[in-house]
Amino acid sequence: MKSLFKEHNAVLVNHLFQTLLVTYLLLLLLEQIWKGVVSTYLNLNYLLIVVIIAGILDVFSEQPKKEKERITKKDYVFIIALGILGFVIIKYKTTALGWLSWLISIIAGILIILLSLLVLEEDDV
Amino acid sequence: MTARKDEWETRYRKWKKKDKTKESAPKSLAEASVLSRTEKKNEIEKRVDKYYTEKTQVNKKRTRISKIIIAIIPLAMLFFLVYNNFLVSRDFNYLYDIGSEGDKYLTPIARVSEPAEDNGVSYRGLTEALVYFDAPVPLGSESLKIQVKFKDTLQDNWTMRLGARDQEVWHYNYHFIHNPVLNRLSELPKKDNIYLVNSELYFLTLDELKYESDIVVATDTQYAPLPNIVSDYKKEKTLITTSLRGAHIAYIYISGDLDLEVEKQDINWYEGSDELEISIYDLENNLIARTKIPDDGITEVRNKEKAIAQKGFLNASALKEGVYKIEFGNFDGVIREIRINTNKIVFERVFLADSTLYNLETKPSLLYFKTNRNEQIELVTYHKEGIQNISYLKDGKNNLFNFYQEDKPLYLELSRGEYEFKIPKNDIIISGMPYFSFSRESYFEPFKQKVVGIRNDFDWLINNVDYIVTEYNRPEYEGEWIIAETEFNINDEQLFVKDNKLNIVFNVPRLSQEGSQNYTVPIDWIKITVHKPGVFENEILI
Repeated sequence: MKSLFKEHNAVLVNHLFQTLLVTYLLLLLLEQIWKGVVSTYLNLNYLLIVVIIAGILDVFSEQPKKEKERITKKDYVFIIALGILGFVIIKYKTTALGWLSWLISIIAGILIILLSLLVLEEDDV
Repeated sequence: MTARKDEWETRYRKWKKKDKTKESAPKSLAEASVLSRTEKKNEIEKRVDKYYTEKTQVNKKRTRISKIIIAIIPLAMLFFLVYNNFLVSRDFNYLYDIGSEGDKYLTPIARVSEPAEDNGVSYRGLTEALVYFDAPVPLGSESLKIQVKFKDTLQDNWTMRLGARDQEVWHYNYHFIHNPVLNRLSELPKKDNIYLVNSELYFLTLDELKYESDIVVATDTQYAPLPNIVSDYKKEKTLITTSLRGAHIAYIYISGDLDLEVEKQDINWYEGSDELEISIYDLENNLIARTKIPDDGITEVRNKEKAIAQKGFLNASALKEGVYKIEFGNFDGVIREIRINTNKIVFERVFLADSTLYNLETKPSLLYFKTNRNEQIELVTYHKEGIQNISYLKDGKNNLFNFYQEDKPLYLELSRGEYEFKIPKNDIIISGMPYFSFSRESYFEPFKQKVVGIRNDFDWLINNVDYIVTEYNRPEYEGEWIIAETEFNINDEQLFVKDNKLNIVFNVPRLSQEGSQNYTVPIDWIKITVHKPGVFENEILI
């Protein structure tokens, strides 16, 4: 399949997509925690459209050859931090449910950690 | 891609090395010619090499710059959000075009008419007293200005208020937006939002007004009176055995733990369940405790039967010494008995119910109160059973008041002094400026001054009130249409904003009165301006 973007341009498209995606997810998270903090001033749907377009362009761009990276201790710390963050956010959003909120958020936090570990160690299995 | 580049570079260098080996061979004429060609070739190769190196460097530089530019995108967004949310003050404008295609602003839909048109103006009419809509309130907002364009179809002294929800339960803080009585306020001297009604008094600022004793202030704002300290308060049991019909508001003076026991009895005059909700609030209107006495199990109309009496308890602990408000919610029944562990309890308005009409024994009720000025109390009954002669002691002297009519209130003029009323047949509602107690011992003045709502009766205001505190703005008239506005302060009025929305209610009491079924109040549009201050504006205000 012929690539739409090559070399330098392909790198840029890939970088643009990653940046926009992370930005979108971050803003979505902020909106979930403090409702209206983003949506009052910025329509996230427009940003989502831009993210999708950047994603499509990235798919049709030349893909750099990925070298296998070694798993370090830092990766595990990052995964645990993500699990804790997920737990805190879900607890915050479901706090009205009482004891059920604890159960849901603990399970969600564990799931985040386990799934992330699974993805991280996928190639080693 | 880099790996492929490296491979090409290695192959190129190998080939070049091989070519250099050839150069060291002996030279003939032909060889010299070849050599000359090789030199040219080498020169070209050097140029290509240089070009390639330069290009790689330029690309690397360009990639780095582009990545920096891309990184600016999220930073710019973040700055934009921080700037708008915290730094800069903004006004958000929303227009609800009522009656336009697909409008669903007003709820419940059953309480508004279908969209209609009048000389090119599309509208919907309010058909019942309470109609709601939501106003968007962005994070950090301070105030809302609401303008409404409506038509005066009731052609009388009717009023319309806008209420903003100020509690999680269905509770609203009301502002008048249409009150022909208040249009007459221009006849009174005014300073800021304070109108001087009693010409024997003098102008005061809002802060000074709060410390003025023995005055009556009428207001539709959050103006709150300061509480008194009661010296003869004792923590002892008070028993009230006078039956009271429906909703009541009482003020108590207490310190420490509160034990309240209430006995209620449903009268089942109307269909539906009759729970009695009892709540205690502090003076900032914060709910301290709440309880509910359930229905007696009879939900149909059974007004001939005497229902069972039910008890409920309300407890609160470690209350700071002071004045508290107890709200007895409305229900189809009577409060038979109140037991409370303080000697100080007074009521705002009483509906005395010890009458055979409510399946109770008719027995006289005693009522005690004091007045500090000339004023009047209102007495009204809605049944012939309530017509009676009321005797009362004023400063030890006996008097008689002939309460001779039903359905229409009668007013009793009072002068400064102490009063003890004996109401023989009850079924009467007594209200006015004083607070009422059921014994001399339990009477106290909860506040430095009396604060009342603004009544739809200008003459009453003139005769009973010293000051009026209101932010009421006289509406503008555009032919038959009226444009009225009011402003709510979210923090000062402690409004209840949920999910960035504030629930607002139109309250037109006239539409709930009998004979108003065919009337509507047409609404053309609602304009909402929400003000959100920024950090810089706040600093300036400080």
